[in-house]
Parts: sequence; C-alpha cells; structure tokens
Amino acid sequence: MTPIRWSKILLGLLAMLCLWVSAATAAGQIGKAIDKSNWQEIKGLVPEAVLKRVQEGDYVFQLATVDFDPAQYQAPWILSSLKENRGKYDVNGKDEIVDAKTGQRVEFVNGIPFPPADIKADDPKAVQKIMHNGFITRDCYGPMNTQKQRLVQLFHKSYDRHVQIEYWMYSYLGVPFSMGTQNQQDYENTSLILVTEPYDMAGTAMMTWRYQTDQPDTLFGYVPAIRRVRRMTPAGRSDSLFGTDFVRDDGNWTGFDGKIPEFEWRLIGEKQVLAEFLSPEISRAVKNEKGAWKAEDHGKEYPVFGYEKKGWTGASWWNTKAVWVKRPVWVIEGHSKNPYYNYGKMTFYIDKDLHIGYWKEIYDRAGQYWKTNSMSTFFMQSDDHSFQANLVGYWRIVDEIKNHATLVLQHVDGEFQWTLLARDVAPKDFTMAGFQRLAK
Amino acid sequence: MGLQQTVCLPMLARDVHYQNTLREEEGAMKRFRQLLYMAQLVVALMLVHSNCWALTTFGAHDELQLSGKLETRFTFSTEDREGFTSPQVDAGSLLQHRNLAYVELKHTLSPTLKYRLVGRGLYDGVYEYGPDEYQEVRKANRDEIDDFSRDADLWEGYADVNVDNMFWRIGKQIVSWGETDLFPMLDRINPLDNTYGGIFEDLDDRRIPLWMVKGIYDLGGVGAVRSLSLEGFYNPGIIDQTVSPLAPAGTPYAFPVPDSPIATRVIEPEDSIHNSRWGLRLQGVIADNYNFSLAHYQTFVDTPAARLAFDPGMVPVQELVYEKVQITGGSLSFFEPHSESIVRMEVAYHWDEPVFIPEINLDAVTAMSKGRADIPEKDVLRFAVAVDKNVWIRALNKTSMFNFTLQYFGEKIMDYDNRMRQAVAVYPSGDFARIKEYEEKWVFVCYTNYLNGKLAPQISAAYDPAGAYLILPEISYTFEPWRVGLQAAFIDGDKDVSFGFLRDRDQVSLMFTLVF
Repeated sequence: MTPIRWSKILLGLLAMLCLWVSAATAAGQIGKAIDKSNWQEIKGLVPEAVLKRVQEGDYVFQLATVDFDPAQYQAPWILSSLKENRGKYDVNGKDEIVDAKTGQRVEFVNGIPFPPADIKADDPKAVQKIMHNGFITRDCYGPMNTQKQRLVQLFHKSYDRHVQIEYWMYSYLGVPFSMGTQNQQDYENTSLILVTEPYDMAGTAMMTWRYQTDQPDTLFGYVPAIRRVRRMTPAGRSDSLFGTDFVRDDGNWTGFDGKIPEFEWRLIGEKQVLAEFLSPEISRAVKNEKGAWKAEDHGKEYPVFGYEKKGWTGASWWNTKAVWVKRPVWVIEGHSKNPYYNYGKMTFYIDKDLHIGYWKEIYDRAGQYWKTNSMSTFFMQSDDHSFQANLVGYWRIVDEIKNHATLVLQHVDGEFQWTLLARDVAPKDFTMAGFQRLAK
Repeated sequence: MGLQQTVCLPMLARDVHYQNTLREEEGAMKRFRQLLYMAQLVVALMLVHSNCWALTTFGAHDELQLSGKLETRFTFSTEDREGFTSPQVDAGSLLQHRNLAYVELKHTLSPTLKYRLVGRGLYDGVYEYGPDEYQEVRKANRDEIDDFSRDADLWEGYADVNVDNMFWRIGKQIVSWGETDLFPMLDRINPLDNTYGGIFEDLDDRRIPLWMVKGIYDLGGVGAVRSLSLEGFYNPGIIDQTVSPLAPAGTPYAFPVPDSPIATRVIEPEDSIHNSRWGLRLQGVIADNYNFSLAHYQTFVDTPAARLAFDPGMVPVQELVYEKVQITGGSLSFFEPHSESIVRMEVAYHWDEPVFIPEINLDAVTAMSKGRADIPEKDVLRFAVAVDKNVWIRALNKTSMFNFTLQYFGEKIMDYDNRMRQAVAVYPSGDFARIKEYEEKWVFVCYTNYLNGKLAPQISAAYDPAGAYLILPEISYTFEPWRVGLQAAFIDGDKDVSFGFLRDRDQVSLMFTLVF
C-alpha cells in the first residue's frame, strides 16, 4: 500500500471515532445496573421504601448520565422568565402570587414566577414558591389535550385492570398563549376528564375550575347512570380516583395537585436523588395537523413495564427501560390542615430546576408508611430548536401495604398522546355547555 | 262490586286494545321506520364528510370505537305474591331471566362531527321456561307476551354537531333535566319503562330514548352569571310519540289489580304535531358556586289517566289515556363550605295534570251521553331538597370515602278536592286508595368501594311517612371483563300508599355482565 492510502484510512478511522464519541455524548453514558446485589450504592439517593424493593429484587436501576443540561430543555418562555422574573414576584399571607413591589395579586405570570436563583432555603415562603413553580410549569405547556391517558392498575406480578381517559386543560398562567384571555373568575386553569374505557364507566366525566385565590375548586361530574351533570364536593381530594391507588391530589408535575394554602409546609433541605428519565435521548418535537406540539418517539418503544416484558421477575409496575440520572432536589414536607384529609405526612423530592417531583413519600394518618408516588421525565425539542419542553412521562403510585400500583400513562398504543399548546382547546370547552357536549 | 271498583289503573284487565299510533302497526314496521331514519342520517353524514369511509383507527379523531355489554339477570321472589297480584307465585319462584345485549358504535368524523349508535337486544325467558304460572300467561296471550319479552332495535342513535357556540344532537336520545334521583320531578322528558322492575331498576335503564333534536347555545358570561347556556329540545309528534308502556297482565311487574269483566282500551297519542314534546332550559353558574336552571317543557304523563267510556251498544270500556302536561320548574345546587356538602334543590310545577276523581272519571251519565267520561285536571307542585356528603369512615374503609345522599320530596296538589283518589284498588275491599293534599317521601343512598374499585356496595332506602318503606341493598364485583352483581329489594308498609302497593314484591337478583 502507498503512504497516501494509509493516511486516508487513518483519517477515516479518526472520523468514525469522532462520530461514535459524539453520538455517545449526545445520548449520554449508560452506567451500571443497580439490583439486589449492589443496592447499597444508591442508598440515600432513593426513598427507603424503594431501596427495600431493590433489595427484594423488585426494581433494577439502570444508572446513566446525560451530557445535555436538562434545565435548558424547557419552553422558551420558561427560560426567558428565569431572568425576567428575578425578584419580580412574592407570596402573600394567603399563599397567592403577588407583585413583589406593590403586594398586589397578579393576574398573569409569563413563565415561572420564582426563578430557582430566587429561592432561598431560609425564605419562610420557599416551599410555597416551589409549589407554585410546579403548578405553573405544567400550565406553561397549555392548553393541552391528552387523547388517551391510561390508568393501569397492577398487582405485584400481574395486570389488574385499567381505566382510560381523555384529558383537556386550559391554563391561564405561564404560557404567553393565554395572555389576554379574559379571566374575571381568576382561574388558574380549567380541566376536563372523560372516561372512555371500560364500557360501564365510559361517559363518566369531571370538570374542574381551579382558582388563583384560596377559593376551593368548583367541581362538576357527569354521571352516565343518571345522565346529568352533578356538582361534586371539592373536599374529597384525598379520595381514590376512579378506584385507583391515586387520589386527586397526587397529580401534577410535583405529585401535588391540591391547594397550597390548605397545607402546612416545611422545607427539609436539599439533596441529590435518582430521577427517572424515560430515555437518555431527547425526543423530537413535531407539530400535528392542528399546530399542537407532540413528541415523536422515533419509533422506540418506551416505557416498557414489567407486566409487559416476558421473563421479567420484578414488580409488574417497574419501567424496565428507564435510565436513572442524579438530579438536585428540594426536600419538602407537607401536612394537610384538614383533619379529615386521608394522607398524613407527605415528603416531596422536587427538582430545583425542572420543578418535577421525582418522589413523594406518603404516610397514613396513623404515621405508617403507605404509598410511594413517582414521576418520570423526558425532553423534547423541535428540529429548528424553536420549541423544547420537559414533561412528565408517566406517574406511578405504589401502595406499599397492599402491594398494588397504578400507572398513569401518556404512552398508549405505541404513541405519546399528549399534545401541547393545543389551539383547538378553548375556554368555552370548560363551561357547562362545553361539558355537556361530552355527555351521552 | 260496582263499575267504580272494577276500573283500576294503571294495569290492564283482559281484552286490551291499543288505539292510535304505532301500537296498531306491526312491531317490525316500527323498527324498520326507526332504522330507516337512522340510516338516512348516517348516509347524510357520509355524504357530508368524505373521510367517513375510512374505518381505521388513528388518533382520537376519525376513529371508530365498538364496545358494549352482555348481561343476564336472574330474579327470584323472596315472598309469596298475594292480594291482587296475579299470578300468585310462591317465594323462591323465578320472576325474570332477562338477557340484554348492548352494542355501541362511536365514530368521530371530525372535531365538529361525531355520531353514536347503540343497538339493544332483549330476551326474557321466564315465560318459556319459568314457573308454570308465567308459562300459562304466555299461552293465554302469546303474541303480546312474545312481543313484550323479546326485542331488538336501535336503542339510541344520534349525531353531534358543534358549530361555534352552538351544539346540536339529532337523533334518538335521552334528555335528562333536574337534580333528583329515584323520584324524578323535572326529569320527565323521556318516558320510563317500568314493566320489568320499576323502581328496582336503575333510572337510566328505564328511560326510553326518543327521536328528537336538542340544541345547546353557549351564552358565555352575562353579568354575575357565568357559564350561561340555553338548551332546547323538540321531539316531533309526527315521528315519535312513544309513551311509558304498560306491563301486560300476568307479568311479574304488572301492577296489582283485581279481575274485571270490563275491557280496557289504551289510547296512545296520535301521530300529530300537537303531540310533540318540546322544552327550553336556561342554566348557569352564579358566583362560581351556585348552579341554577329554569325550565319549561311539554311532555306526556307516564301514568295514563282512567275514564269510563261506552262503546256502541252501551258496552262499558275502561279507557287509559296518555295526556300531555306542561311543567315549569327550576333547580339550584351549590357547595356549602362549612359542612363540606353539596346542597341540591328542585321545584317543578305540573300544570293541568290529570287526576282521578271517581265521581268524574267514572261518571256513567256523562260517559253515556258523550261517549266517555271527563278527566279532571289539577296543578301539582313538586319539590325536593337533597344533601350530598362524602365522609371518611376509616374503620370501615381506609382508601375510599363513603358517599351519603339524603333527599326529601314534597308534593302538593293545588286546589285539592277531597274526592280525589289513586286509581288503584286496595286489597281486599277494592276501594280506591286515598290521596292526600300533601305527600312526602325521604330517600337515602350510601355507597363506597373496596379493592381498588372492584367491590362496590350500595344501599338505597325510601320512606313514605304515610306508611311505606323500600330498602335496596346491592353489591357488585369486577373481575375484568366480568361484573357480578347481587341486589335485593324489600318493600313493606302498613297502608296502601305509594310504593307500599308493591309490598308483596320482595325479590333478589343476580346479574352477570360481560363488557367489551
């Protein structure tokens, strides 16, 4: 061979090496698997109840690192608010968001109100600010529609049953889309749930009006058995949702969907925990035919839960394809002020930058440990980088006493069903007339 | 017994003849017409929307969904039938083996257009292999009993159209207004089928869909009122004048009546635009908490009015006539924060409701001279107040709340006439039961669920202070895709008032349902 051919070969190999390295760094690094043989390595990074399950062989943690900064993969208006909203807002005695200078309650916030740099551990309202950020981070991606959301109930080693719903939400805060929307009622958001499966529950629907003030939610239920819209009490937020392990307050980004003023809060501190990423890669965000954003999963099948995987011997509700990344979190403790609330102490582990609550430990009113709620996350970005988002991939709640769990899945029938900035979702959909259109 | 004692409502004696409308047509012709109307509607939709030929499933729109349920229900009496109930079967007898099939098709053609079709099949085998007594009933009246015990038709079928602030639902549907359960007040638009269980059955299972057009116009917010909307419906009397059916004599849920030598003629509404049902309702929310509605509509009374008539040759006949009535009413519901309960109220004023005054309805002189006696009318005011409260009783259920409902019903007959009676005979005298100027009832319901929603017990009870009570405990269990249900019904009463007439009808039912 001539010297020239050798140099070409070497150049080619070098190019391939560069491509391989860049591909590896774009995807992050897949680390070791943590199972019952080496569970000690993640002690302190997950709740004790979760660690116990690793010891028992129910869970396997696939550790990973990502080489992108997750905090940068949030909606553009969230990113700009990190600077624009510095020092702009505060929280008053009623836990409402107010203008920091005037003390007046604000009617609209663009992006998140309390940039992480503004939240100090010694701030007596730090928790309220963190919780507001959690709510408004979700609101920042509205209006939204999840065409199929599946609440899958699982026994320890097998499938139990499921309820399928369709979900709509219109948010009045956070997203520039909603600026200027008439909002005399001081809504924070309005939402609709319609049960579509199974047959005997199909048609059941719920509409919620959530307020920015301390006014209790206004709830309506459509009951197919009586063919009527019925007012529902907002006081049952710790009641089981459709018979699942979830209660109404277990939702949202943080695992808390209640009313902030109705709880006593305490900031325990900060730490690192393992956070579930659906994938170490960033999904591609595309617009559907209505101009709403949606994640395109590149045809990958994820998540894959234990009950779906042949040969899996662990818990049926465990996501066997997840990767786990260390993230910095706030540790927050909450207690309801309502003596009839069904949960006792709750401990939240909320991402300091992304406002997602990766874990929520739930005790019953007698102080016995009861449930573990967890939220996974994933990221998406459009090809032209004009839009990116960080969303909850799915929710999982495990009743540690009954050994039973419920998953709330957005990946249904091989497709991510959540659409963001859905312009066909309008405020008029959340009126009595709009609600009755869902009725059979 | 004189003529007065032999005329009883709402049940038939022998030789029943139905006059007017669809009862005179073959059952098959009736079903054919309904299917034809629906097919025309579907074809029209298909011509309008070019995508509808693609029956594939991608996304929530343009997706065809097929679902339904198959149900079989065994019902046994738990006490001997007695009094005027006929036939008088013993405790432990099979009363019903009712088999139902529902197949539902939903198709979303676009964000503004979708349709839903529900086919229903029904077969009750008790008349073919049940107690001898019921088999004899079939032998004596085979055509009517076969028609009664089996059916297959388009149960519901409608298209939904959304255009800006206007929503239309066109087709065979159910419209339900009001706030109350068990004893409907404003909820009398669709007729009820009480022939296979009456108040032992869920209200929605008993509603008969009607061909109608419903529209809801979203008015948005007006002043302090939010979520204001105007709803209207129109059921053309030339297309569908279905009324509440009467159970054939000798069937398990026929009302207890004494034997009578007088023939009965049921007069159903004619095909006429004057026999249309129609109504308007305004509803909204005040101060984000007070749901209100104001309504006025025209419908048909479920219970036909009785009168004496004479056919040529001075042959007496009992006529049961379905009369129209107009109802004005309203409702209010709100969350009461101190008790953390929902309060519901409803009032309905029934204008010119037919009543039974034997001296008028059975006046032989008038009947002979005019061919038929008169049916007097009175205004009736009905109202209800209800409270719903969810409570934790952790000693009994750690994960789900108990839901309690207490309802009070009142009914006042305006311009009361102390000659008024209920057109039902008291056993054994045969006298007509008295009716008071003011009547009241209490209803209590409690339910919860266990095993992550799979086990659902419920108890309902109704009490009439005049001397009758009803208790309905039930429990259901789900093991996908099956549901198993057990329900009991206990009625008792010292006097023949309201549901106390059915005090020999205690029963227990076992249901198996497959959902798909």
